Amino acid sequence: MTAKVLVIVEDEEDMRVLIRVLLTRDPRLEIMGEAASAEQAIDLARSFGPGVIVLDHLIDGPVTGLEAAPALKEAAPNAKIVLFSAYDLAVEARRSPAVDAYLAKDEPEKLLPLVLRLLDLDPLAA
Amino acid sequence: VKHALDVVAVLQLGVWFALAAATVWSWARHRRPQEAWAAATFVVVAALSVAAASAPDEIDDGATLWLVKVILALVCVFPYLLYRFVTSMRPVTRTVDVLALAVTAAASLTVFAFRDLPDAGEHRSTAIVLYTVLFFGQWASLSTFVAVSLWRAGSDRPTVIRRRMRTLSVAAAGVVLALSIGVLVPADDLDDPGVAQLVTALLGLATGPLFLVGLAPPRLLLAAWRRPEEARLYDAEAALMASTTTEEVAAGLLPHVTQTIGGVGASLVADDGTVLASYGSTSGAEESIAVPIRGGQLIVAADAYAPFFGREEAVLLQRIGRLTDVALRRAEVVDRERTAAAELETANAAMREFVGIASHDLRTPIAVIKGYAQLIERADDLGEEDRRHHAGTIARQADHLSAIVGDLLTISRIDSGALEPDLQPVRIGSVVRQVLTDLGCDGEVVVDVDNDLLVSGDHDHASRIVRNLVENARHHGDAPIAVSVRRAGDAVELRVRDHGPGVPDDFRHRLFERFARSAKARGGRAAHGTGLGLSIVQGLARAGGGDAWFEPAAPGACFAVRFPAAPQEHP
Repeated sequence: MTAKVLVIVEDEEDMRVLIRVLLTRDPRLEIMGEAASAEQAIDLARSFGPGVIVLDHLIDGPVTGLEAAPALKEAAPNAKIVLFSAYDLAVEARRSPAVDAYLAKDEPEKLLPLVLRLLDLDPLAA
Repeated sequence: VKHALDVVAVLQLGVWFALAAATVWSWARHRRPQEAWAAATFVVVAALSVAAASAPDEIDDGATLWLVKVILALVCVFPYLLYRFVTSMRPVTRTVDVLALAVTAAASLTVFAFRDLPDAGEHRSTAIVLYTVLFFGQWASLSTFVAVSLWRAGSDRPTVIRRRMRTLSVAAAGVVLALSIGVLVPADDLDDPGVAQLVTALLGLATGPLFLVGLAPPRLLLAAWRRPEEARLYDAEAALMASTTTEEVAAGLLPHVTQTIGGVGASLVADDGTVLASYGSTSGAEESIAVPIRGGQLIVAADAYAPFFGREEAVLLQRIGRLTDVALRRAEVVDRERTAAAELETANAAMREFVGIASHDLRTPIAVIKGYAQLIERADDLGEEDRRHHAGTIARQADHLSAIVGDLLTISRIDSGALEPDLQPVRIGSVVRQVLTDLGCDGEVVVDVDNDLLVSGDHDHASRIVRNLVENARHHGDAPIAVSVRRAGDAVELRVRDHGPGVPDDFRHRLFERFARSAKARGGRAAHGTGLGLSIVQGLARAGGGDAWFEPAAPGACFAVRFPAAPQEHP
């Protein structure tokens, strides 16, 4: 089985580590890159062509996650973008064609199932 | 006919005296050149009419001859005075002025060159005929000038002014006509005057009332003439009542008052000389009419004709002036309400933003804590090292959460004024050293403080201020960090300077805002404070009677705090 490449865009260390730990519990997923700003994220997306990009909204640099989404999508057209934010951005995310899903940050337990669904993978048997 | 002429003469005498009285009265009140020339004109006319009435019909002795000569000389002065009256308001070139004076002097003085003057019906010598031509020419030219000038000046003016000017113009023309008939159809015999003499006399009689109406119109006539302007004024009043801003008041008012007075512009001027609004041309006007209104004046700029002919219209201005007061007061109230509503909206927006950011900043550590807690709870295969790492992260994020809540409470107390600083003499040097020790950074911070300096402040607040500033410098700046305290007049200033990248220009004005973070400083919130530190520094400093501000430094950044100085101890 091929590993699904992921990129995490998150400027806060603890949260970034948490996302990594949460997602790598499924051995089919592989985190290929982590970025703190939109600029770094676009570079990573272009190099790895990830299947999923987990994107925070308030990140380093002048551009927010929501604003960076279209450029990320252009850099990696096959990537599913998950906006994972402490801001309530459900409406904005739905309106943005580049964003495939939105998840509130205080529901981290839903991140892995969401990513698997976006990648058309079945959850591993517990 | 002779009898009719006598009656006419008496009536005419009355009219001229009324005119003389009216114009002298006007001059006494206003004392300006145009009033003076009008008064001079009709005093001369009144004097002439008395002299003419008392002069005998036949010139039979030397004294009578002299009287007649003086009368004839003065008669030439009449159109000249009228000319001066008009040119005092609308000056002409010097050449024209000199010419008018020369012709008048010639016409007046020539009569004294004659040894005798022919009676009516007598033969006229060539010299006398030439004198008559000169006399007539002077009269006709000056009076025609007056008639044409006033007629022209009357166009495009408000009804009252226009009618007054044109009535005067017609009067001047009537004088010329009467004189023309008198000269062209001389009476053959004074005892048997012809129709021409009667027409001349009637024209002369008619001009008197016309002059009177032009110069001192009766109130009833003024009221009737004023109707179109009154109607316009009602429109202006309606517009005023609908105005809710000073600009609208001015826009509704100024054009109307300008038209009412026949001015060239108008302005609303505050007591301190500030022009609140203006319309048309207001600079360089020859004359102006001012009406006092609340907190200032309504000034209508006009040419020189307007005050003479439009002064009575100032009553209309006074009426609208009172309404302007009301309208301006209303605009003021509406403006205050508008400002209050806008301030409230700004405050609401700020509050919404504050709540938005605060909830975001609270949610982030909660999310991390929840995530790691779930990991520990659900992952059976978690190693001891991972478990310790996760627990450590949870503890750190809980600390951060409690720091945010603590800062929010401080901010709330600052905002509600519930801080009640316990102001005492505080040895600021000790505070600085204690904070550095607590933060464990004694070694890395350069301290330049006079240990004896006392500030007036709350010890805990001073300590919090120093800690926030030093933490801010450590998180956002680079070493070396320097803390200095200096006496500055009756205050003490503390500065915390770092040598980091400094603060971007476009972010400086937001430095002390709540949750303000520059794009550069956003990363790693848990490690870099709550985003409330500088706002708290400023709030605490101000609550203690001081202030806090940013000072650019190159390289790095410098934050300064002023404390009121406490009375210093003298060992």
